[in-house]
Order: sequence, then structure tokens, then C-alpha cells
Amino acid sequence: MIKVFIRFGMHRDIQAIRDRANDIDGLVLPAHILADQTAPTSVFIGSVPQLPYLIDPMTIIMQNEKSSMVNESGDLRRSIGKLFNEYHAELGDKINRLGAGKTLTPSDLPNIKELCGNVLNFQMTAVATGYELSSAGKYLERYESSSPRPPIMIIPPYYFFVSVNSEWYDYSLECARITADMVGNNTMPVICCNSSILSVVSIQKIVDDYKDFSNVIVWIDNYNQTIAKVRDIKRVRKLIERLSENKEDVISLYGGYLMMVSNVDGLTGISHGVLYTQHKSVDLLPGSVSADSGGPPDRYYLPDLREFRSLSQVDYIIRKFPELICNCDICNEIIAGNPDRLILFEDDPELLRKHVMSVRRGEKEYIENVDIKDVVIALEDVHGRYNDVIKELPNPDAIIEGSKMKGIDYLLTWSAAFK
Amino acid sequence: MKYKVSEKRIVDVLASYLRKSGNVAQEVRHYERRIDVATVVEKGDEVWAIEAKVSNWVKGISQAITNLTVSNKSYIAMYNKYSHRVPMSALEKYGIGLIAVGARWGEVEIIKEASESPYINRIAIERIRNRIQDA
Repeated sequence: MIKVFIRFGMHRDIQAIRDRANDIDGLVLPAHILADQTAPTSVFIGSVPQLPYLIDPMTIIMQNEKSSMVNESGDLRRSIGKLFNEYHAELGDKINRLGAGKTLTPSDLPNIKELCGNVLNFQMTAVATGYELSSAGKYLERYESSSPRPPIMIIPPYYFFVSVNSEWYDYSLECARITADMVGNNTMPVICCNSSILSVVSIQKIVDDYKDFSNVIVWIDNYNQTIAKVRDIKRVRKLIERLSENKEDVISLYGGYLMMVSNVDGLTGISHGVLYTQHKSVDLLPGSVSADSGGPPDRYYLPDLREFRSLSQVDYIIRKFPELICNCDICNEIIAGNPDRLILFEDDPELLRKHVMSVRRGEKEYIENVDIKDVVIALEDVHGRYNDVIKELPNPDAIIEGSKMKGIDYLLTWSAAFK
Repeated sequence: MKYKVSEKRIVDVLASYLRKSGNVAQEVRHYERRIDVATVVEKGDEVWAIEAKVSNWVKGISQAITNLTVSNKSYIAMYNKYSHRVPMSALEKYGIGLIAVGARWGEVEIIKEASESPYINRIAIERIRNRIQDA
């Protein structure tokens, strides 16, 4: 089984999530959003009681350079400041003292037990606190909201590591162990690294070090499914396979269709934003200039291509290849066999969100029930039929991050990695 | 007098030329994109969408392809010094036309007529037409 978690990122996602709650299995709340917009976020969580949720503690922000954490006045950005205030009173001061271009090291951080305790306390109490704020009133009127509930698991402080022999690896592991001492089996640590370091030896060390945790989350830095190489995919697959040998849940903090196919390796869940963050770079965290350059443009998920494309491209593609018109319940209603009506997705971007959640449900059911050989054959088939035309279209992601993806060669890469 | 050739210059020269025969709009919104120049010609019947480039014909053609859904005819306009670099086969594959534009006012020549687009979105093209007429 694959669980699909939606990573809450923008309040304009709320209505689509509420309307399509049956398409997904849970939510991930970034802690800095919860800290900054406690009342509306808490009430929103309460309005979807059927959805379990996790709080991403976002401690990885602490690894940023100071310049990406502060505003023009030199103060911590509001959401980060509020979050760090919850985590430890000393954090803000430590960041303020950083020199230009410098970053914190584990030894710079406050008392580790205090930090872990405060991160735990935030996750256990933030939503309930949100309900008690005076500002919650107007949101309670807006949404039917049941009483607050805690997250299903606690995510300990975690940090990106460049090597399993690094300070940050050791520190993350220690945070996980300290948190487990506090809450027992309800701990779900995050293993955050780049695929390039996942050698056999490194994977073995990770597996050994995390063997006592029943559930883990992996975040493979910048694991862009459209440009990942076969060797990177195989490394990630091996990590997932090894971790899942003794785990109930191995979930990917960011992922799309490629990550879902790793269900065959033992992956049990993915999370991503509604229209974005199928992958994420540790360099593009809240607080970094690139990340805060405004929301990403709305895009349409093309099921057969397993990726998002701009509406202008989709309009052309579905006219050239009418068989690629999506047949999810949203598109059946909106497009209703007339591709001209694609423009209605521009008029109401909410439909883009509902569409992708509907499609994702179909994809997860497909992967759960179809043999991996058939999944691979389908990828190759789609590539064969459509790549020649689609590779002529503009790079749809160029405005976001300069991705080199043009055609759909990534489908062949995926098939090679899963053969 | 020498003129610095830029995409903007090409657009301005082209738009000025096209205004003699119909409404012209620049930076016309098309979903998430902007079409460099759009015009209605032939007594209000045909919508043309034109992507202007100094020399990058590859990018120009790829953008012109997506304009096939919102125009009767889709063109790329290139600085005339480089327009000869555009392979006709690439244009013919998609029925895209080519306009050569110089740095001086009036230096506009249609090198290759575009074909009628077979991919028109009838709702979207009317919106483009309205945006041209409102410009």
C-alpha cells in the first residue's frame, strides 16, 4: 500500500484538500507555517479529522546561511523567528551572531535535549493552541472543525548530512534517539541526504543506525524525477529496500510518480505539495531567496507523462494527441470530451488541484495492483509514442529552476532503473 | 544611424508595421505565457501570434508551437541578419511561418507564410482576439 500525504504549503490549497480529502491519506504541515499562522492552520487541520497528519519540524532551516534567514532589517523572517522562538530562546541570538557566509554547526546549537523537548512539545501542542487563540474564531465559523488532535507521529529535529561520518549525521541521529526516549515508538526520524552519498557502506550504516525505529522518512535532496540518472534512482531504491526490511513505514518526504514506483522496494508513502514539491532541494528552504520568490505557476498534471506541464503546452499536447486527455472524474466533468474546455482550468485553478489529487489516487491504486514489469512497459510505450513531439516544446520548468528536462526521456530512465 | 538590435526592437518594428493593417497587441497573455505580438488581420478574421527572437530560433519555434492553439497562424519573427539560419524543415514540420525584421522602421518581410493551425482552441482564441482588440 502507498500512502499519499499532501504537504500543506499555501492557504489557497485548503479548499481543494477539503473537497478531495478522500483521495489522500494524510497531511504534512511545515512547522514554520503552523508557527506563523497558527489559528487558521490549526482550524484547517481540525476540519479534516479523517486525515492523519505529521508536522515537519523544519529544523533543517538552521543550516542556512544567516542572509537567507533574515529580512531586510536583519531580523529573522517572521515565520522562522516564530518557530525558532518555540524551539529555543537562544536560537535567534546564535543566528544573529553568525558572520557573513557562515552557518551553524551542531556545536553551536542549544542544549540538544532542550531542543528535542521543545520540538516535541511544539508538535504535541501547537494545533490545540491554535484553537484557543482569539483569532481562531473567524476560521471556526468558516470551517466545520472538530476538536484538535495531535499528529500521528513525532518527527525529531533533523538535518541534511553530506556524509554518514559527518557531524550533522551524528547530530540528527542523536536527536532521533533522544526523542524516541521521550515518546517511544511514535518517533519518525527523517534521513536527509543526497543520492550521491548512498554507497553500499553508507546505506549499511544508515540501516544499522536506524534499526530501532519502526518508521522513517527519507528526503533525498533535489531528487528531481525528470533529471535523475539511473544510478541515482538505483541508489535510492537500495536505501528504501534496505530500510524497509525491518520497518512498518518508509515514507518519502518529497516524491512523485517515480518515488511511488519504489513501492516495489518497500516504500509505503510519499508526500508533496498539491501542485509542486515532488522534489525539493535543501538549498531552497523557506528563508532562501529563491524559495521566497513567489508561488510557483499553476500547472496541469498529465497522467500519461507522469509530470506537470504548463497549460499552454497541455492545450497543444491534448489536441495533437487527444488520447492523452485525462479521464479522472474532474476532467470528465470539466473537459467532458471537449479539449477547448481545458481553459476552464485557468479560470479556476482550484480544478488543477482537485485534478492532480484525483489522478494521484488512481496512480497509487495502479501501482499497488500492477506488476512492476507492466509499469515499466507502460513507461516505454508512452515514451515511444510521444517523445518526438514533446521534446520540441519549451522547457516547462525553466522559469522555476532551470531544469534541463525537455522531452520525456525520463520515462526511459525510470524504466531502465526498474528493470 | 545605428540601432541596437534587441528583442524589444524587433517587436516594436514589427508591431508598428502590422498596425497599418489591423489591431496589434504586445505581450498578450496566453495561459501562463505572454505572446510577444498578436494581431488580427484579413478584415478581422485571422489571429496571428508572433514570437520575436534576435537569433534563438529554436526557442522561438518551441514557443510558436504552443501558440498554435490560440492563433489561426503562428509565426516567429527573427532579426533579418539571422533569419536565414532558421531551417525551413523545422518550420514546415509545424506549419509555422517566418518573418524577417530589421532594425529600421518598416523593415519587415514575410519569408514564409504560416499554415492554418489545426490545433485551435476555439474558446482560447476568442479571448486572444478580445485582448488584441482591447489593447
